[in-house]
Amino acid sequence: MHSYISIRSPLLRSTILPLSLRRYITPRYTPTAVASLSISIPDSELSARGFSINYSTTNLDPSALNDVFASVGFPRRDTARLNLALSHSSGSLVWLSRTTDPTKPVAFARATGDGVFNAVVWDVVVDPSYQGIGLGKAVMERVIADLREKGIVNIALYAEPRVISFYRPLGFIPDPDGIKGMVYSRRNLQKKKR
Amino acid sequence: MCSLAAPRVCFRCHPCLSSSRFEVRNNKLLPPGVYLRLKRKPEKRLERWFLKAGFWDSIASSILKNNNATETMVPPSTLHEEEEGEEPIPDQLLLADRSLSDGTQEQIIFSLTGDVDVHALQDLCDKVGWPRRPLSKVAVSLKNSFLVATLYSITKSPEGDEERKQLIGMARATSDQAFNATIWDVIVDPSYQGQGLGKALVQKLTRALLQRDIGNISLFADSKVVDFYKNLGFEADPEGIKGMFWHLPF
Repeated sequence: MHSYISIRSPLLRSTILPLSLRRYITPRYTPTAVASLSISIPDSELSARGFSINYSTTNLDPSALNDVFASVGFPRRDTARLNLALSHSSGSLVWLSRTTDPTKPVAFARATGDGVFNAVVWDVVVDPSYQGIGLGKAVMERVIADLREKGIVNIALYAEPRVISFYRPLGFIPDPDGIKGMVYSRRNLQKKKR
Repeated sequence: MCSLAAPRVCFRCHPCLSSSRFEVRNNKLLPPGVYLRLKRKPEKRLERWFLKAGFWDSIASSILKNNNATETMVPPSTLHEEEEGEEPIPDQLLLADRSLSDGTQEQIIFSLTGDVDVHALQDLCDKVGWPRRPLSKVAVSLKNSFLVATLYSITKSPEGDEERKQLIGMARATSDQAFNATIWDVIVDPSYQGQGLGKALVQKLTRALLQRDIGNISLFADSKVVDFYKNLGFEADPEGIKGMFWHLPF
């Protein structure tokens, strides 16, 4: 379990490593909860593998993002509206790029919300050529950590059936206490009217 | 132990290890039955409060004009025009105007201007049994919400000299202002429930969001109110897509 690893390893490592390197290895802790902030692939390892971590939309190429959306089967978005959405992702925004190609996202996730109580995570994508190596997890963990640092603990998302098992190990539960995610559908309303 | 009343599931930053830890504040409980038909009649609309929302439509049309065939997302306002010949939701709307038994005149106003007194909101939350939240945080959450819809009751005494304005309902939506919106905290004063006001509140908020071209309107509903939202056009688990919540590890 992740919490076990994060509690054990920094204690071991912090005694062995010189102070200068400790910053890179020790997982981040928040004042709200000491346990559980596990980052499975630390920042140092990601950069060693050639990925850069970005927390803002500077340098992000929206058409490259659209390409990634299309490659995983999401609809393409109008670029202007996409820029509008990205500028209003007041919850959190995390994306990875190859250090050699810094404007192209290979993994992406964003969260919207009111900044204090609730956040909903949208558009979690990993470029198909980079799937299966933990990038989606890396991005999600950082979004969650970022939200929790802001004090937001009510973090929700909508998951297609085939990715529910991706979100479970990250700490997400489907339909907790019978709470249902619902989406407005004009089709339903029209069916009712007839 | 959670000191909050069931059936409300609670969720706070305290080490509450009970099983009920998720807070979803869409608790509008309406008994099945007769609702007031609150269909907006043109003659009831107060002219001085009408605000044209054509501004949003003009933005939508300017963005759309040069898209090629790969564009798959269509702003909902273009589809929506076919329904009912609808006008934009104004900033304030009169929902009901009636005389009470003691001679006072009562008006129920729906408002999108979003100026909510956090103390009034806290009183309302107390009435329905929701846990209190720090007022400063509530103020910030309202400021950061894309749309805040409120219901006010304005009562005038028979002599016409005193006017009392009371917050009786609220719903808010957060959004990225382009694609998605999520509705939170739908609340109606218990003494005003059962009249179709909660339904009107959510309906008007939904329409206002659609008119601002937000195509994806979502919410998280307690199991008890899933049917309430189904009647308003919301679908649970569409295509098997599940709502998931993050939780602190045990």
